[in-house]
Amino acid sequence: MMEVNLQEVLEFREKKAGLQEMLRGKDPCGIVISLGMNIPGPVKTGPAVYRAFKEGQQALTDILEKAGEILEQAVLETNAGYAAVYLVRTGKTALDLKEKTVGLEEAHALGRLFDIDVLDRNGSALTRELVGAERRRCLLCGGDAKECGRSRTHTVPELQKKVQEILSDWIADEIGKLAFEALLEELYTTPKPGLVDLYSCGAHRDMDVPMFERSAEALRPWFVRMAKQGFLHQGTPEELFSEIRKTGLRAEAAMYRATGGVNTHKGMIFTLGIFCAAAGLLSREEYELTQERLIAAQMQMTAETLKRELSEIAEHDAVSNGEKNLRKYGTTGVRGEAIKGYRSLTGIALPVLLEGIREGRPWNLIKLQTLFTLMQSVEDSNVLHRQDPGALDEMHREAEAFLKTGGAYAQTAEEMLREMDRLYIEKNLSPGGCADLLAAAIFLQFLLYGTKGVCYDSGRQTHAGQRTAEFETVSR
Amino acid sequence: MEIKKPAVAGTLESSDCQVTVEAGEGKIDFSLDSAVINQYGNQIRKVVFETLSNLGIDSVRIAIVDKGALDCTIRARVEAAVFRSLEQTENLPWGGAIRS
Repeated sequence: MMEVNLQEVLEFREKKAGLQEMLRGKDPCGIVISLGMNIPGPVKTGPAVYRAFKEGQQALTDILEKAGEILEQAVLETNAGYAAVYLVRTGKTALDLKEKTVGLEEAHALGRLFDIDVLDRNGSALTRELVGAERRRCLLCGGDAKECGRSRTHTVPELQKKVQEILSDWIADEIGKLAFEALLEELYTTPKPGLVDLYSCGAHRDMDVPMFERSAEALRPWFVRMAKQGFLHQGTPEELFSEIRKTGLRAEAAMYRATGGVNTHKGMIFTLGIFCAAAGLLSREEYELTQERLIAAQMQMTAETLKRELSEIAEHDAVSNGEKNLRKYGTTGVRGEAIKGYRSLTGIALPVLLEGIREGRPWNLIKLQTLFTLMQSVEDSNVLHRQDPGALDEMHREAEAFLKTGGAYAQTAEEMLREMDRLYIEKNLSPGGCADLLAAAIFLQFLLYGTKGVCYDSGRQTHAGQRTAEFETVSR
Repeated sequence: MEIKKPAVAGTLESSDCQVTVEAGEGKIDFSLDSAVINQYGNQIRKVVFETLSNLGIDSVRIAIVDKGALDCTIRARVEAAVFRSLEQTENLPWGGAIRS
């Protein structure tokens, strides 16, 4: 945590005002708009604030590009704070833009932390009252922000806690949303052999698409919860794992309530829960979220605990399907995946997913290709539990054969997949473990490489290590 | 000591103030525009006069546009405006008098 003193803060504000002046001088017909962050206390920056700033830049850019053309943009990133100043040419008036930006300040989950100024011809900022909005409310008590700030009504730690809350709520929501979307993305991948999809219910008599949708919807707030637990966590990674497993049990109960007692996503609660918490934890601490760091955090959280559990399961009664498999076949299931750092994700699924995206393939086919690459080699707990190792071998061979003929990208793929679905239904075969890994791979793709979400990749160029004061002007 | 050259410090952002100093007429000529003038007008005036007195300034026209700045911010902005006016940028005696 980088503390700054009053002089640095005051210098930062003058620099920002200087940028506004500079851009104002460049085009007398343009409108100057600037974004800053309201962060009370001596720590003005950090990974979470930076992510929030990037989100604000994105949201503001969207508004400005709809209104006109951004002629120039200047960004100030220093230890004393972040700011972005835009020069816009538009048919709209400054007042129109002020109305839009006040809307952003009011409606966005991070809006209270955004400080957006729209300057008039003379360079003074339009007030919120001009567009019929009230003056800025205090972060804590709803009083007038300027009065509360001036009178030091609230202590710095109180204010910082509130800011942390706003940041953690937003980041957790974003992460949880990606987990929810990943579940739906897996569900809508069609046609999947033996699995529930838009084409058939596969080898499942007790499940259908609406049930999976209800289940995903019910789990969403719990993924958010686990991400937030990660973000706010103060103890060791192992303690975090133990914390979120309690949340996981409540998530499981919510799933069973939503499905009338059917296990739709139990394995997903485990895997995505761990990743959501790890992503939350890293969001607070690191500017850059990489696959390596995420897997390392996931292993630190889970490996020791799970190894211990695997050795103990041999001694007590097996409860879950995975535990029964361990007793019967010695396979370690999703616990084994977590202990070894989800190699089937990083080594098998993600590369196929990313390659497909790079090659510009249709999204549904990319997901199918990824599923089959998993089916070719993964010890699927669901197949083992419902059938036996012989069926698993058969699935591996069939998936391999399918991939050899070109896989999901082949002309004949759709036909073959429908035929395979019929066969799997007949044999009562469902590669549910592989489907879970597909969903987890999609989640990681969204989180680490996607354009949506918490913009984890945008900090990559500038946030390699401890920041020093810097100043850049980006011409567009 | 007198202020001879005009100078500005500060911004019009929330929690900040903009201080303008110009040549005075043998006295301190103070004007204030503040978002919190009713509650804090007198306090701001007090801080400005104290700061000027510490700096040894007795002739200046000083105008403050305040956006809810704290006392410490007002003090720093007044000092910065005075130093800029005197073109003193090194060895700034923050909080003390300028000896020339």
